Amino acid sequence: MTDHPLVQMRGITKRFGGVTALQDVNLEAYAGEVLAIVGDNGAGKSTLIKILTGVYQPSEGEIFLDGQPLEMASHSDAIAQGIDAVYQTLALADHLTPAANMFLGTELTRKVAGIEFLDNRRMKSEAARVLDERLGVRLRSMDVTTDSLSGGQRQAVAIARAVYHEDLRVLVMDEPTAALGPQETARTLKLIKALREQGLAVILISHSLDDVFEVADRVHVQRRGRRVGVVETANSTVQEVLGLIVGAPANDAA
Amino acid sequence: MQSLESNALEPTKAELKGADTKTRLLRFLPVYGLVILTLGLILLFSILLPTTFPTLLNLRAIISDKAIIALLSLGAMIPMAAGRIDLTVGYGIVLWHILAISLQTMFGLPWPMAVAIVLGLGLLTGFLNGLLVEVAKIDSFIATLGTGTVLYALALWHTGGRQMVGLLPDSFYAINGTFVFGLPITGYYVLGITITMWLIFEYTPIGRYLYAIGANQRAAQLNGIPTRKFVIGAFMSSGFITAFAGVLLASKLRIGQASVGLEFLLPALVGAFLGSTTIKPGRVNVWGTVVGVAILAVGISGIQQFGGSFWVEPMFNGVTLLIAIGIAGYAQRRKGAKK
Repeated sequence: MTDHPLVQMRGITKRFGGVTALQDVNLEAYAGEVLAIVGDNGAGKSTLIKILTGVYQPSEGEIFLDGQPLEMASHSDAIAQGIDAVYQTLALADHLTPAANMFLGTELTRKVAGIEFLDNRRMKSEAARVLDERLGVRLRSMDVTTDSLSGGQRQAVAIARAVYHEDLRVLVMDEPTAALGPQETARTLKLIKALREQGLAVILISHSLDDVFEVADRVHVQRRGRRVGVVETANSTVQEVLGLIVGAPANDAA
Repeated sequence: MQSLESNALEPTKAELKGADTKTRLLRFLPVYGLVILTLGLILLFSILLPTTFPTLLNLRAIISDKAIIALLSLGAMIPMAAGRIDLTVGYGIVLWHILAISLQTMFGLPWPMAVAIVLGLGLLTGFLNGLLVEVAKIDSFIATLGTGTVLYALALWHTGGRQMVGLLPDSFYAINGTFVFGLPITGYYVLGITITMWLIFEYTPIGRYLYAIGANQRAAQLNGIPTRKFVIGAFMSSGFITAFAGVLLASKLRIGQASVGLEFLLPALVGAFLGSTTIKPGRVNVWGTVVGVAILAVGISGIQQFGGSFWVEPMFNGVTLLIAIGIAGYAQRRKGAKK
């Protein structure tokens, strides 16, 4: 963990018409750290990460990457800056292969007679390499369609898509373990730790405090559109975080 | 659209490795079942009708008869790959074949000009369909039913219920009537478009994007694919191929009338749907579509030679579709159960 945050969101407010989804929220994430964002439904978690990944633009507030102010008009701007996300509903096309999904939109091609043809062989070997080297995942076959993979493997394919970009620095994951069984959850948490070791700033939204305490270094607690606290998992308990989430008076010290 | 969602069934190399011959055959059956069935039908009719079925004359008849349906099927499958249905293929061909003739007879245009205008209008119709579906967000079934019906109404208005006839240049008739190596040139059109489409769909990013849009449009969007552009492009391609089929029909019939063309709609869609059960089962695909049209053509030709009545054709189309979709669904569930 370094001294200054890799990503910093300052005074973020987001209004949708008359509804204020976020009110003056700050967020810091460091390289080589897993930051969990927790909170009840409607606490503003999703809105916050959508702003961080360029999907929404804040009504007020600023975002800094490495100390530099960041202007993002779209999700592609965020990707270009090295901020990507893996969504709750995995953005996979189910009847395409893992490699096809990993390179969707950024296909490797080679020119034959001036026409760009897909370089399926290279995409397959690259996909297998990234899955193995970055995530330690080996699929039994790279030729199957993604809908025949397990939930954890699909998760790995979605993550591999993000980490393939060499300049990825911040990875946001929305409920990565929500639809998984215990074994797949353990594997996904291992993936997240591997990404932290590689120096990424991982930001994780989760409802499962067990998972959060298993994998995260710090926990950012949202309640009713505000940040109500940040705790270090090493010096905190599930009880304390739960208290912050529901707003129990003893812990209501934001 | 639910019915167009797909689940591929192709066996993988890893699955086949180490499998014995019987399992291999069983795994390949859903993939090539329709092809085998087509070959089986050809064999059966050749044995039962040795003097009339396996002849060059019959092959010519089948090709010249079904090339237009094959083209419409191929056209319709482009938006289908992107999860959209295009009903204008059946309505468009009515207006396009009439215009291909009337632009020459009523407006005195040279035939290449008439053909170019028809092809351009086909593109324009596709563009409109694309706008309705992607910009106005109207379900493709409803949107193309609407534009298709309007095209049909225009055809009725334009002809006033009369036939469009007139002496047309031989070079216009030659678009359809030429023979190359003993076979109708229309067969080569189909072959050319098939190969082009196959290369695009299986080996270029364009095809991959269309399939990705069909599988998960949101995922395609999140990955930076301009989905709107691709869907509109798919409808324009389908509109263009439909217009081309209309030109062929005009050149073949030499008469334009509003009562001709609508009957192509259902067989064309049946062909594309049948195609989604073979070669690349679970998704509409180019060679599958060709096989789908071929099995219908072979079956109907054979049955008609046995003296089948006029109702045999739609009956065969419908029953084949139900059986093929039924078997594909069964194979899918068995595969799902094994997983």
